[in-house]
Amino acid sequence: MDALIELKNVTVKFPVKPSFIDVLKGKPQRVVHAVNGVDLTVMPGEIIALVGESGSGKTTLGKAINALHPSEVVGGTICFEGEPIFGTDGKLKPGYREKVAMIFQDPYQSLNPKQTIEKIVAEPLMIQQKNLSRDKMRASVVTALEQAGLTPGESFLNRYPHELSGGQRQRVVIAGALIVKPKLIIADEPVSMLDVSIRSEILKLLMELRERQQIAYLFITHDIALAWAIADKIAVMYLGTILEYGSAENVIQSPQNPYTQALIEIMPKMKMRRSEKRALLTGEIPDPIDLPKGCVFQSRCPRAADGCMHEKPKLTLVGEAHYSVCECRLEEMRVNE
Amino acid sequence: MALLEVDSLKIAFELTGGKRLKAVNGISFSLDEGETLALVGESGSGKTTAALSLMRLLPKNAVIDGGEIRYKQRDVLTAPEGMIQKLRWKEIAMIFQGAMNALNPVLTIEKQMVEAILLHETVSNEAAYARAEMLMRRVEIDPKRLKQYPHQFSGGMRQRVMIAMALACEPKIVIGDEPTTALDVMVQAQIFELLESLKKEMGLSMILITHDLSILGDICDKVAVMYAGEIVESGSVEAIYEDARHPYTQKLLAAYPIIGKKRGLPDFIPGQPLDMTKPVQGCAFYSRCHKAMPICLSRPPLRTVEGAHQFLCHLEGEA
Repeated sequence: MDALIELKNVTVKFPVKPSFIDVLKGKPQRVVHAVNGVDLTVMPGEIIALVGESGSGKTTLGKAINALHPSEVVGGTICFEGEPIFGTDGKLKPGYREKVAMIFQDPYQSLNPKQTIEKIVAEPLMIQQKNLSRDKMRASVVTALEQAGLTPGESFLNRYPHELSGGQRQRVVIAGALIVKPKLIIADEPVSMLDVSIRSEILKLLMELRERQQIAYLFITHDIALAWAIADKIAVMYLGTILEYGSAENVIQSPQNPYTQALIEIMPKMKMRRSEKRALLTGEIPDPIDLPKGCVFQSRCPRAADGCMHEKPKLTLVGEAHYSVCECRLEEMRVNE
Repeated sequence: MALLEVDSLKIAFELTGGKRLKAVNGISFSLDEGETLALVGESGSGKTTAALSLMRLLPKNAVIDGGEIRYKQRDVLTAPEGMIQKLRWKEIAMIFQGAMNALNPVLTIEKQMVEAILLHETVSNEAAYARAEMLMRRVEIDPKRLKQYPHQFSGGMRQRVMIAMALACEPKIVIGDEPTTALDVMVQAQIFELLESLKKEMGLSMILITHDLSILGDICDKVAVMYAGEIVESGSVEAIYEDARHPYTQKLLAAYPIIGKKRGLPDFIPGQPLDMTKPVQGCAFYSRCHKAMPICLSRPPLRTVEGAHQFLCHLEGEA
């Protein structure tokens, strides 16, 4: 099967606006290295979870795939069904926006409170297909709403976001993504703001859509347990770099990278463990302006050695279709435990 | 004797059009010194309303329909306003939910902290500044950063500042209203570790309001699960994790995926929470319960499993 999306050495760099004094002093332009050389492949109908802390660059990468950044800040190549998404003139290929949709985190902020549900859901389609008749447009909106579990679709058309519950709003957001009939949905923390009872319903809907319409997902989350529950593959991201990648089972059951191990360990486990001393990473992700030489995780890594400071480790095969930038000390670790 | 006791507390909101929303319907719990209690439930289950009433911070349209709150044997609900002002922050303090919004963006952290200290305690300016520095150290932030503004802090750091402010007047009880929901897991674990060490160091009691049952084992001693303004199950964290009896608690426990347990889509609770402006007949969870029977339309009994582990259900509650 051919890949749906293929990323090769993708980078996203945002130039920092220099201060007047810096310009006078002739200081070099500073750059935020949000994404640093990511290779990733998404197959049709596949769920890939992109896991990492705030500041790991996971949302920036998601937006890069959705072509929401200006093309000049994005480096490397992003191919959709084998073709680069940007033409040689730097313009987005027509039709791409109908193939990839994005769902954002907060259903309270991502819907315009002054528009009817019909208008909100129809908007992406109106931009894509300008000369669609009103009736056809309405029919598409109703279909999308019903696919998102809002039945009957007609009854929602003239309502406003404030009349809906949190779960219904997130369904409206999903309907807005579905209306263009995408092959890939980039879901950025789609359930982290939702209440327990609604969370699983929305997840169930997303999984059903994959079954019915072969939609692939790039599921962005900081919750590695959720990633494990629903994804086929997991990519663990840190400071714009993928540190570990593989099938959800491999990554969770035999994590090779110390960062993945830390993320798994701190996840609540529904058992009493207040007296246990846990290996907790201190501090936060460092500033992505000055990237460290060597491994990006060195400053917080509990097992960092001299070698980690100098050489940038590469993703290498550590098991069946399982890659990690770090495996050297796994044996050692087992001995220590 | 318990530090804090809540006995059959009932709170309603007067809505426009003469409607009444019964937010809290006769809940009872107690908190000992050094103990941490979790109030767990969905949005609208009444957990925040119950917590706010402990500091008498309820909005104007709230009415106490009955029950008692006793702090150190003294009645909180009937105490004069002057006494309550002494109770707030000095005895019971609160860490609010949105660390991002609860700080004033145009004042330095120092200003906000010193102001809070001076408002509640008669100390000199110098002493208040010294206290602010000490508090920052306590939450593991460099005191030099007191001169900075909220936007210069990350989400986790701001939450630490909020904790420092709650501790400013050395309270006995800290109420945390979803203190980590907006934060990612690593920061959440760091905040819990900090709270855990502060509790030991200062002998604090805590009430944690959350909808996430999976975190209880990291920070709490006992749990009260709330649904539609009632406590439907309560007990030690171990009892709830290992032997949950109420169908609602069982559903909540299954709603979060746990590494090492069954892989796959987490369970969900069908339907919507109740409209609490309408009277409830029988068990409040009836319409959403997967084990509902005709008898559930009558008032369920409070059953005791063992010790403090109780639940409100017609069923015997085998797992």
